[in-house]
Amino acid sequence: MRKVLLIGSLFVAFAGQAQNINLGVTFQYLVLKQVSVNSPTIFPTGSYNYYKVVDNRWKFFSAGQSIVIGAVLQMDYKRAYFTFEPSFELNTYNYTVSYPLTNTSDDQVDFKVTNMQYNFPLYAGYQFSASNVVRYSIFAGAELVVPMVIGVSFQETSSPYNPYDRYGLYDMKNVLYNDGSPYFNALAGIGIHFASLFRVELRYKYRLDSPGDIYKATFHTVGFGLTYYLPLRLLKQKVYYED
Amino acid sequence: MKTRRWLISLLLVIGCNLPPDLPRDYFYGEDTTVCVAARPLTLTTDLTFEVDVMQLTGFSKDYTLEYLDSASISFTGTGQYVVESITEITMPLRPAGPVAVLLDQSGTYANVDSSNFRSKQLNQFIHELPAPGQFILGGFAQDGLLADSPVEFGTPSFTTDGDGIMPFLFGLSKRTGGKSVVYDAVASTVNLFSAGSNRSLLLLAHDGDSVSTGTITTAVNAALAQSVRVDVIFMGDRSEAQTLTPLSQATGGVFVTCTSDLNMVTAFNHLNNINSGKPYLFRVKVRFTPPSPLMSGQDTFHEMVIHDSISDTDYNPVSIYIRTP
Repeated sequence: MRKVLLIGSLFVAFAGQAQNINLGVTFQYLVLKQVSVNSPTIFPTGSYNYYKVVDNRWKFFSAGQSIVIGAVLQMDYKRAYFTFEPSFELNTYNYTVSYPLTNTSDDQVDFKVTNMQYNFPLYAGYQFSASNVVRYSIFAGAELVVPMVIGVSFQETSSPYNPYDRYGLYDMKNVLYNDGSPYFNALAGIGIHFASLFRVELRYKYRLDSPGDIYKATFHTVGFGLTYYLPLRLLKQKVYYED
Repeated sequence: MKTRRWLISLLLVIGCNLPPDLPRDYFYGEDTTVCVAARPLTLTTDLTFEVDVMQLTGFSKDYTLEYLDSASISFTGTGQYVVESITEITMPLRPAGPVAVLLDQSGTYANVDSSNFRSKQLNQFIHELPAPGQFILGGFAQDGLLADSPVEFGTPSFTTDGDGIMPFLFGLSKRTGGKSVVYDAVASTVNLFSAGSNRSLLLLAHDGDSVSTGTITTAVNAALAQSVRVDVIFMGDRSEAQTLTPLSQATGGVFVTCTSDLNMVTAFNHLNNINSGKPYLFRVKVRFTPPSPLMSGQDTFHEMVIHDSISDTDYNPVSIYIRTP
């Protein structure tokens, strides 16, 4: 809590020094994900099942997707900028494990975790001007994630067996999700700014802790974002890139 | 302002909708009939015997059906059967003790337990053993994929480590094959009991014996010599089930003939609770008129079927072994 207050107060203090303050909205679509559990097997505490960890790969779409919509408060100071982006995210993870059936076959069990969460990212960036219109930037920071709704289900598969009859729906508790405690993500990315109109970015997020203590899981997410700045002149100071 | 901040925080907290925190889940099975005991009474031209049956509910781990009437009982096979009486009694208490678990590894699971319920149900059974909770787990087969014959054990001796045995237990599903050697497996396993009373052996089989050097009598005598009660859960060909009935009925164990994997699920769900003196055990007295006269000391096998009038289906059969007096 003290860290949050300190960062917040620094942010507010910096606002007084900013050359430009932008408000905007952001839309992000994150589709490249990796969910990885650092164990060869999982013995869930919610049932008497047993799963083998078989697939920790990076995947487009099939490991889950995230849609983010939020507001943007960006403060520019010369080439640097600081951004606060309170947002709402619909975040899904799909994770496949296998259950042994016979000598020659295993059943693939696909767990799907759906999170509705509030994100509070705070990050700093540095801009490189390519022209008076287009600028490139890199940014990095962290975000506080507050889960609101966590839903679990089995993904539709081609398996002939109904997973709800054979496996525990909540077997991935404390593996892929926990009791809804807030957590932090690290985030970084590169952006292309078009004047003060909008920014297109490639964003990477990494969860800084694991939902459970016994089975350590890591979550990597990559995707695209579009930030549109509202045509407001909140500070009438000349910034470094303007003539 | 302060009130608004607290209100927002409160809304965030109570607004969080999470999956429920439930006790450890178990699977529902089908209502299942268990043969608890059978004993001969008299032999004249007719054979009179008693069979103790209990009907386990599929949706719970301890509820049993509270009624049984003679009109719902029938028998398969030749000869005539008459139900003379049905008496409700209480299951005798069977105190907990060390348990040996034997799992049939012959053939394949694919035909009898294609969803591999047996591994997770055994997992549940082992974890829910009442104190002292000592067990030893082994798979048996000959000319299959096991490292030892007739039995490969997961641990060298009895243990209480339910989590540690799980890789071996679930790995057995990948090592089926060969022929059943159940008589030799039982005879050798009962000799592992070195201490402790209230000894029991749980046998999960899906085939009759094929290649043992011993016989059913050898296995029964070995179990009796070590005071081991043998409980049998059989899921396979019903005619093969009869060959194993002497193991349980001579040693005081229960016998469950499963016609589906859901019967097996129910049997495992109730198995630990059966021992704690449950009511609604029904003693059925039957008079059997054979097609030809029986001799004294002759082995007879019977199959009783209870019909569920509500669903208009039959429960799993009750396999009964009677040696004539």
